[in-house]
Amino acid sequence: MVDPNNFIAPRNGFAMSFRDFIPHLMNVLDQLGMSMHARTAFIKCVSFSIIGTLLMPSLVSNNMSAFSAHKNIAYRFLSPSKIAAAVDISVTAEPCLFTRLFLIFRGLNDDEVGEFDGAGEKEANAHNWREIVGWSEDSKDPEQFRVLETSVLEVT
Amino acid sequence: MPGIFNLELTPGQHVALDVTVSSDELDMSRMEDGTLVDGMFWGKLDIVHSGDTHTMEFSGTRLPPGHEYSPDLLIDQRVMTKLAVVSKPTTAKCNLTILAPIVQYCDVVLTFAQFWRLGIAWPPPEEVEENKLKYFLRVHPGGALEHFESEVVSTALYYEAM
Repeated sequence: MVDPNNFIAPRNGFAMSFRDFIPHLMNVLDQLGMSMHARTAFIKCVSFSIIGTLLMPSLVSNNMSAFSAHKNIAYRFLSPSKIAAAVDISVTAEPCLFTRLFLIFRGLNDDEVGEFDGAGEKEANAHNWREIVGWSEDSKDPEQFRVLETSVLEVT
Repeated sequence: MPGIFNLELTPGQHVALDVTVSSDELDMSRMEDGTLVDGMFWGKLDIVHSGDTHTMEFSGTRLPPGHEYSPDLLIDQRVMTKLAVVSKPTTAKCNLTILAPIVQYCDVVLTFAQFWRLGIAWPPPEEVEENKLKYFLRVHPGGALEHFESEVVSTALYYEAM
């Protein structure tokens, strides 16, 4: 069995309180080139459930409510190769620029957050997520055919 | 409600207790006319014995009378709750948008690795082969995605990976 604690550890992720996490995440998403609309949608992202043939926004499950269920949150973004190892995407358009942002997070209690000494909000602000997610300037170029994928996974 | 406990307080020290289980104040298990209501209960048992205290919590469900139940079939409610939590698969929620400079047709193919499978997806993709899904789309500048198979126009593809 893989220990989920290893998915997000001080060596690859950061931890902070829920209150600090939301504004911090908004900042990081901004640095990753997401528009204000996309950032807001990402944080509040309503997940869907299918009722009959209709797709209905689920009232009980969205990212904000998943985040707010925890006092503290540890998170990281995955590299494109890790994401592709789970779900690979191909698009029949040439050239095609992919930006895949995959956030994984888990809740921490006040004791566990202590393990992230030296990997808190201050350090997270200084971290270059652009490099990890393989972000390029072209992903903002409206002349390019671009695919933007955002994913959120809570590990428990 | 009568209750029988067979307990081992310390290794080798067995006690059997015949008790009456009752609630502190209100008896939620009975209606005003005294009829028993089916439902679950939760209780606490403290045993203070020669200076050492043993405590336990228990819960149960009233079973309709007249049926025979094998004790092996009965599972504690809290165990059930935990099982429900454990068996809930970890699900990644994915949202895919396409920004195209001109109107054009394209296929979007999702290939799931061995240990992943598709949860809910909308619009519903075509299954090309096992673990491989396809959307045939006409994409528009501004983000509109026309999905021909389902005759749906949306600004994003939503899918879950479990």
